[in-house]
Amino acid sequence: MARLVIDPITRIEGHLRIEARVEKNRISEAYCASTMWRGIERILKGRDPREAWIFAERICGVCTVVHALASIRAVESALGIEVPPMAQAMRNMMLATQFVHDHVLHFYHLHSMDWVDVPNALNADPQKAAEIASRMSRWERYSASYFRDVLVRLKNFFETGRLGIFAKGYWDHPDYKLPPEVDLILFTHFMEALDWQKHMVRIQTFLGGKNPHPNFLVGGAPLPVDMNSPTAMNITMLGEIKKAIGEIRQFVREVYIPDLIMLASYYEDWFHKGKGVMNFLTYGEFPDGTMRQFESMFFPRGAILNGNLSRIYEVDPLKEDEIMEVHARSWYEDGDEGLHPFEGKTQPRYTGPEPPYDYLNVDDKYSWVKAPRWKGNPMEVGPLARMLVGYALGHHQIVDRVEYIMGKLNIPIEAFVSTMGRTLARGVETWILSEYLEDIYNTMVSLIKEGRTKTFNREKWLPGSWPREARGVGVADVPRGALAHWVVIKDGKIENYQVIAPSTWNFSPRDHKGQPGPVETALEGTRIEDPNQPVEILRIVHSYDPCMACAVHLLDPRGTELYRLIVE
Amino acid sequence: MKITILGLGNILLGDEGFGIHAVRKLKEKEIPGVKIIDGGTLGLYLINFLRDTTHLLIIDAIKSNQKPGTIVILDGRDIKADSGIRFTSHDVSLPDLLTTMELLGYHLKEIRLIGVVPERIEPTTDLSPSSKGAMERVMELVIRTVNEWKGGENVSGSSRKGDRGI
Repeated sequence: MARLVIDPITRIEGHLRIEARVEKNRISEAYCASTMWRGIERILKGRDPREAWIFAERICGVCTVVHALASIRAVESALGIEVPPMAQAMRNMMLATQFVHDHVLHFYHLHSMDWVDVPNALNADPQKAAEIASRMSRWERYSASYFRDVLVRLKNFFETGRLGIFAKGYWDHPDYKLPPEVDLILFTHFMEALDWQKHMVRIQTFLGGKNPHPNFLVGGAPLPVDMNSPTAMNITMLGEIKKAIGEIRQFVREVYIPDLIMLASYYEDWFHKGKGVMNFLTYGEFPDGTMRQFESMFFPRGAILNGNLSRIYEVDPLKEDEIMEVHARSWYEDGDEGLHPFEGKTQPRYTGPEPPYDYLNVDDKYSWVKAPRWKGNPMEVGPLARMLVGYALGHHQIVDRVEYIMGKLNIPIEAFVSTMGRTLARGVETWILSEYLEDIYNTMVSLIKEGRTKTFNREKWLPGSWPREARGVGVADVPRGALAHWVVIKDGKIENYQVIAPSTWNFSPRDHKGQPGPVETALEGTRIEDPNQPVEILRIVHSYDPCMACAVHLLDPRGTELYRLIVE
Repeated sequence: MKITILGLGNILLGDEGFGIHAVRKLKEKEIPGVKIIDGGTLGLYLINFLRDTTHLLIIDAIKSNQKPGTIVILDGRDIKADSGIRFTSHDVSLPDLLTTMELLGYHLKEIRLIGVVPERIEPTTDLSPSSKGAMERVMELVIRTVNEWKGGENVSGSSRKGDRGI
């Protein structure tokens, strides 16, 4: 039996690692592991809860905003702090902007390379590319000279011999199916997206006061509203935000969505691969009122089991019998049969092989990721979970956009539970949120007109007003899925802090009952055309948009062994 | 001329966060006409903050066989190594960032990296003694580089390349 290992080591230590047993070109068992321990929980112990977000936002390289938000919500939940409506709207805009940014960049800069053969774009006819692109959407930039310019730039870049982000692609794999013109169109949009991201950055810089690493505030938002102040939210800033939202909406509608539909039409077989566990969980997101009013959230909360869309289960992250973290196959003390995060210990006990090693001992403990389970079940989180829960509950915009995609590609709703469906769900969600940004903007304007401009509730800012002991959970449904921070506060300091991030759910290892995690399940049964170029694994893994490799980025200037592929 | 000093790293992992500690210190010293950015581990996202930069000075932890605390200086050409397979958006490294900027047509005149070899990378917000010990020298090197760039521009309009090691 062949054993396939993919372990990118672009930094100092391993992060997400996949080991797969392959029999007759088919994956029989797959194991997801994270080989680096982060231990954020222990760094936060003893700190001022009002400052926890400053450290929490560094848990992850790119998801700074979402961890900061979950952290301030956790502290507010513990101390019973209500956030003024204007601050809630500002937070919603910050997060919705983050969704659009993350999803579009994930698609063009990571996932599209699994489908787009970049060197093949060099064979494209720019005239033909312009014709195809103009049929897809009415974006005004398309012309033969536009695509010719991109072609020249790409050619010059490849001629320097430095492939950069395009190095080590499996470019000659037979399952790259796009004609060169479509490769060129998607590559062009890859470049456009890099420039277009400035609009999201602009909004976040306004709302967060600075960027990168925008500011957050327990009890509100760091930006006051004052039409007469140059540093507060004022008329000029509102005008700039409205303009940026226009640019954001246009790109999503006229570039990203048509690209996804075109891509999917060439890869229809991927509607049958990478189904996963068929269980879905979302905490809901974008509160209109307080965090306790689930029914006010724009994206609804709920869970689906065994792919049954006719029954949506209620979810309560505070209930001690719903969410458990199992350590049976993870390198921690205790918790072999599961602990609620309030009881979570995060006591590391590494029992894996001494590095450097070829294989993990997958029959025993094999990952730093714990195995979270909802009522005992492994759950998929993320855009697909949100879109399916919303679809099943009849959410107006979700039903409308999902059915538009179903009509365009002539697929049933079941097809969404797949690698390509997951990728489309991410697009549908982005589309809805790019329009929702305008709703949030209108809410802000209405609040200003009503004079409800308070952005900070200082009532319980001082520790003297806090109880001796308090516990709370900050839930957020963020681009990659359900995120929660659990905090226990004692005598004004953090006593315990536990994080379950979206990728903890999706990339969880097996549990005490031997149940594999969502991605492990999605990989099983997959046919691997060429074990030396396992593009199928990358497609499935990327469709979940993993985020676990972010904490370490150490530079290795030698440029030698940058990834390791072992085929036994 | 637009000079940017970019600190990179993760502040939660000991010496991995050297670049962040360094830019925090630099922000206390006032260096006129220089943009100072705490870049964290933001990868391609950082393009947004470098669009108008002509001279980029990066401070980071660096993997090397030298002993911890050693300062390594590289120029742009040494940094642009090819990168490998990526599982996540966050596997985007500094070389990826620099080559992507080149592809987009942003031509940085000067790129220099001041790296410090880490002693320990583990969950703590404190630097090890060897990284702490390197800090003062790194500050001096930053100021020297900025002055050199400013001076080079004023005197001859050209820039010097290939200052390696110290």
